[in-house]
Amino acid sequence: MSPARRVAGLAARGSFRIPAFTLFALAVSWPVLATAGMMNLFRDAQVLFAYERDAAWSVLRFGSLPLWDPFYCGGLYALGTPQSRFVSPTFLLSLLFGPARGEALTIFVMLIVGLEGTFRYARSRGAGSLGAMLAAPVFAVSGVFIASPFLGWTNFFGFQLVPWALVLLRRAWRGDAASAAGAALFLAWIVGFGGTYAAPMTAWLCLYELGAWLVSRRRVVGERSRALGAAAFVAALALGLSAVRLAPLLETLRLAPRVIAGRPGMSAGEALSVLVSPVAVKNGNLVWSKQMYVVGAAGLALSLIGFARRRAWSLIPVVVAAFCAALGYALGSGSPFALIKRLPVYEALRYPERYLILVALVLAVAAGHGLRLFEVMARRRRWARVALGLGAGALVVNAGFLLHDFQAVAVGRVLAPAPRVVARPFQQARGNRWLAAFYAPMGRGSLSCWDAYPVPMSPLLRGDLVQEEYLLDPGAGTVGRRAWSPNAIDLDVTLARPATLLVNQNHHTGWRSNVGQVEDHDGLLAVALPAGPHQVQLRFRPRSAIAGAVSSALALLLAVWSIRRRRWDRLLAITAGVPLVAFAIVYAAIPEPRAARPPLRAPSGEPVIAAGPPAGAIPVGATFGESIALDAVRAPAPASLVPGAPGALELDWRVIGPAPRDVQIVVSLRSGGAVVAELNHELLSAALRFSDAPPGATLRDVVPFVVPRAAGPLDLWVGLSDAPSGGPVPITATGQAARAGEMLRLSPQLSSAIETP
Amino acid sequence: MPRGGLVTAALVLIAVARAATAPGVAPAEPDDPAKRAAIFREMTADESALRQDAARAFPGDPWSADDDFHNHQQRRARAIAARLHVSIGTVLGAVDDGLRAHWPHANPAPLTATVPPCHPRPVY
Repeated sequence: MSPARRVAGLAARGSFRIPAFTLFALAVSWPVLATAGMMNLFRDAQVLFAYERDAAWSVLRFGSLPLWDPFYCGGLYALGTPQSRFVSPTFLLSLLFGPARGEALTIFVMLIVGLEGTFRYARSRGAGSLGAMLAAPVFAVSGVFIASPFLGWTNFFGFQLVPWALVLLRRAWRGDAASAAGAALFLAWIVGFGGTYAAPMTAWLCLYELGAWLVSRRRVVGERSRALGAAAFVAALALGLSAVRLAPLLETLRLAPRVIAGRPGMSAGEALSVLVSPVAVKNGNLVWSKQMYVVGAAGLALSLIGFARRRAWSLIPVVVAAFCAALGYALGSGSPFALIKRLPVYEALRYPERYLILVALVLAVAAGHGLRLFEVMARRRRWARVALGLGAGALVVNAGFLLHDFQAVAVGRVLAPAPRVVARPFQQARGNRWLAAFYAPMGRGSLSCWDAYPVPMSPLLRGDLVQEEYLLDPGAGTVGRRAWSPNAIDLDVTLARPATLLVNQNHHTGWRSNVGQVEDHDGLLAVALPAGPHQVQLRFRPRSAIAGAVSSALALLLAVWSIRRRRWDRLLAITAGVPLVAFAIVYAAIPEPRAARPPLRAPSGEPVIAAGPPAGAIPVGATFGESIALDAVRAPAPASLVPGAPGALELDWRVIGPAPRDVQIVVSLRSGGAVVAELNHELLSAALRFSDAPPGATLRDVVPFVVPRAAGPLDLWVGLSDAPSGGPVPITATGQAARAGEMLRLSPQLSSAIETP
Repeated sequence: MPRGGLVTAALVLIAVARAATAPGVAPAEPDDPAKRAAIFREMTADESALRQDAARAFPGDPWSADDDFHNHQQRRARAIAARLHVSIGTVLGAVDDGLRAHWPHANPAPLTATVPPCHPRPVY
């Protein structure tokens, strides 16, 4: 037997392969394990680690479920935080070893899971054992996993679960109920692990696998309906399993949608170059944020050879689609990414280049095929034996290169010892989100807040209060804290007259009180209380978490039952929807006020949608195309126009017809004919697109700027352009403005206001 | 247990042992109120000027300006911690204690104890 066949035989055996993968994962993650007690100071790492740590502390220190996180942003719904990853089996590592050491072990475990999953997926896709094993690191140690420990994006290790979900789905199509349940479990795990990108991207791969199966079995009677039934079962079970995470998440994003603008993209050449360029760190940051998708040159070369194999051809559409999606708007407004962005959920995904993670998975499988091609040819051709040896060696070297890159980037992290825990009553601090993880150990919450979505926060939160619970009318009585934990606050309140109790945390409709009425006091948690002595018990019990937990528990039982039954039957298919029905019943049965979506506001706080232009606005009455009107303009008071100081203009728009999606608002300040400030933007008040705006309403577009140093008076020029082409939207009525080409010159109306002193 | 399982278990144990024994928590520091007061003064000395710079960098965007200010603060906190051989937590704790207890500071205006609500920019 040839050495290659002997190694292939070993690779096929789990008793050899899994220890080999474990050893490799140990070597890869060694710098992370060796510094497991330290804290990563990178800004994202601070926040994402704090989410996991706060959840673990909720359990370990307070004996409560991680529902409410009071330690960040003035309090937020922990289950509804998109990037938290604690609804996952790996949370046990955080509980057992502490969140910092648990995070390092999570990375180690997820590497093993990813290596084995990639092997199995490659095998199920027809690659040989040898190629599948040697190519597994092409995905499982690819760039995103190299960069994630540096950035603190541990939740991105959820992508390591994707190949498992796909392998099990492919078995589920054949009627294996255990695999269907397994696929649903992995999909739910991806959601629970903070899979903001992993979950929606995996959905595409699942759809592709289903479509490919249906096409390949189109002549086999009964197989298509069985596969469709399995897909419905997996979808229902995955939704039921992840309901405890998904329901709070959707609830949060409904109230605080992530608004994204810009037209990100990169050329095909750049995308290919990042697939072979190592992840690199300089001055405490990645040298280029898009350079984090490396698969290695040998991995890429073997995968290109692998696509020559007929059994790999079915992967070509998915790799081409994912690659094109990764190019983003570089392919124009009709690009896959631009089209995907029109879908709910996908509209909130900012970075197209992350589709290269899917490309890496497909390339790993194709690289396995590349080696298999040489294996098959080596039976008859001598040169192919040499090529097989070289290919296998190249993949080993490629794995070594990825290992080295992972270690180098991990060593480049800026670390600090974890802060000591100070036992004292909890209070909010002004805080600092760049060092957010330092506050909870001090018994403090950081009001300074960042996340990728606008966390609902009260402007009344304070970081200098002596008492965190107080009365709106201080003379009405007294408040004393009896007990405090993240989800439960017990207070002794004595009131001479009815009064409002304020808690220095954000309001959420899931808060309940045994006395009085929970209220939203400008975003602050408040309770309206009658006069008299009260033992107030505030509890955070959101119905989305309760109903989600019921659904997830039932779905887990159903998954276990499906795994035990193994084969399909009608009973299984019928029961798949039970957890979701239970969710609906419990959700409807628990009374909770429906949270009102807060009005859209400009960053400066002004509401974006209004009944009419504000006082002081100067009428314009111009229209662009058939759909957009510029009703009025408001300029800052002349006295406030100090060169170098911040100022703001306001343009009052109105949608009068079907507005195109990709419109750019072109605003410039000119002096003496020269442009002195470009204020172009896509979103009205950085919050709203024309296409999403209610027709007829006044849309207040607050345009901040720094007053330029100009020799003479400033002219204000306004126009609209079609963002993809850059061409102007024609002016169809100029109203009271002057016109030059397809721009409006508004200075005649504003000359007294806009002229610099 | 088959040999492969034993090897895997041994490797996992090595990983767990390495993670569990890795150095971690910052050493205890003696409480030095004078040092903490000095840290507070240094951290807050030019808060108004820093906030004005941040407001110019992000006109009309209070959250971004506040975030930019906090970026300056975290850099300064890390630099002070390194220079005085104290933990970053000690520096941040001094700022919190000083704000809460109204310690004397050199900033020409009262210090800000509030933050604008989180409003991430639509484009980075």
